[in-house]
Amino acid sequence: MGLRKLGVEKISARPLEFIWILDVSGSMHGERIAALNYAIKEAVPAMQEAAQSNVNAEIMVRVLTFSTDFTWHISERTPVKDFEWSDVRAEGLSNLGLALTELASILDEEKMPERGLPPVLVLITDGEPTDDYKVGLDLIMSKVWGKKSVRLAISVGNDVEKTVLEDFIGNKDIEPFEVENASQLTQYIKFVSTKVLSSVSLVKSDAHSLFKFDFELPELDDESPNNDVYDKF
Amino acid sequence: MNNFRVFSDSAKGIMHENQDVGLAKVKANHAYLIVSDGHGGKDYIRSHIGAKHAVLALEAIFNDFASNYKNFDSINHAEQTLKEKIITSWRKLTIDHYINNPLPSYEIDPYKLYGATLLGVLLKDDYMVVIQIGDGNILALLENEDIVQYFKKDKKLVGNETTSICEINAIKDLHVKIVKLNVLPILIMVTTDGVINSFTDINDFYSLPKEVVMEIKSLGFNKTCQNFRQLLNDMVNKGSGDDCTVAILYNFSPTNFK
Repeated sequence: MGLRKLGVEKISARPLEFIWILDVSGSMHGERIAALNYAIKEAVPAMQEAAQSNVNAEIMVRVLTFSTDFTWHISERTPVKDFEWSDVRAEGLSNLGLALTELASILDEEKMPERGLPPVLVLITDGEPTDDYKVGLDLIMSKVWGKKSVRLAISVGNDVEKTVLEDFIGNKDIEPFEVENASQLTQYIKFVSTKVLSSVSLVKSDAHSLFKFDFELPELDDESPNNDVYDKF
Repeated sequence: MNNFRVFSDSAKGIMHENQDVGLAKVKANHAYLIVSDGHGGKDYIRSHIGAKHAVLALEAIFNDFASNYKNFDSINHAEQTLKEKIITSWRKLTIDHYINNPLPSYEIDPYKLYGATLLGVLLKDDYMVVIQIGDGNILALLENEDIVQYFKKDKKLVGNETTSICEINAIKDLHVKIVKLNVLPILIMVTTDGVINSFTDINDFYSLPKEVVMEIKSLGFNKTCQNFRQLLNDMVNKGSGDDCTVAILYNFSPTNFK
């Protein structure tokens, strides 16, 4: 084939899995689920732009939702350039443990690309789980890729049991993001969809270290103009 | 070592100064290839220096070993001694540098600032020494066209993880192998992890030594080196984006160069 041709045909960016884990239980019904749908829709162009400038990671998106049961809202690894958002609806219980168990099943060594970057798992929830979330979380942590995934969490409103999110993140250096209104939710979703992805793709860690933030958290816009996206959840 | 030609080159990754170091030399009675990859990032702010220390330390050890090692009855002992020497030499260079250039408010283990991988091959007429700590690859193309990789990747290390010469227990992760040779390999290739991580299909990476040999045979050594330089740039720009470094030793013996 020749080395020049090899460089043209056989070289490509490393795969990076980005998985949203979205709480679509009954408590998210109404304003919260509307804000979540709006925020992700808003974040897509920024995510696509970030992906374009980050040519060394091929970002693939999947979306897992959970309520009484789990559903793969987007089940196939979807290149971020092809990622389109269709709204999710909220109803039912909040069985996070069930969703995490499902998530663990896709983090098996043989299902992950060998040269992949650490997957980014982002949990968005507004309440306490209605099942034993630790069962699912333990399963994730029993997988090599699960243990090394970068896990972030966004709590919507003030009813979230913070320890659940801290357990999910499993890294004292990373706090859950707490959002109080739709504007903040949009800002954080954009933030994790862009800056975090860029950072994950380039930081090297030794065998014993957890992922470290290599960027500043965004300063949230605290202005409260007369606009419903600034109303508290 | 008249029949050997060597080549090493490195392409800087997209984010920072180059933290890789590569070296390839042929001497009268031995030849060696060494690469090291500084970890980069906030915890390893002097890893580019750590990588230089690693290469310097191993080069001195290889030269000494090539001159003095004769006793094949105690390979295990020789391997263990090499391990100890590599770690001790690197730590000595590193702590000397730190003492002369301290960071007063730094709280972590100073060695960690200099974290790096280290891979190297020393070739003599009848044996080869292969060493590796951390990610990256050492491949040899044998006369029968088999590709040999001396140390397999630890499956528990995924994503961007690596073991490191800076760890307190580095000696446990350092692999050293002395291989007796009846026939010298056609080509030996040592690369940092930015190289393998750039290939869509890992099998294309493992076919790289054969590609290099075919290219040398058709275009000559110098042109192949130029093309490899371009390939490293492609790896940075379209592949892993990491620093990408290679060191190659080619055996020009008439039987290989058909």
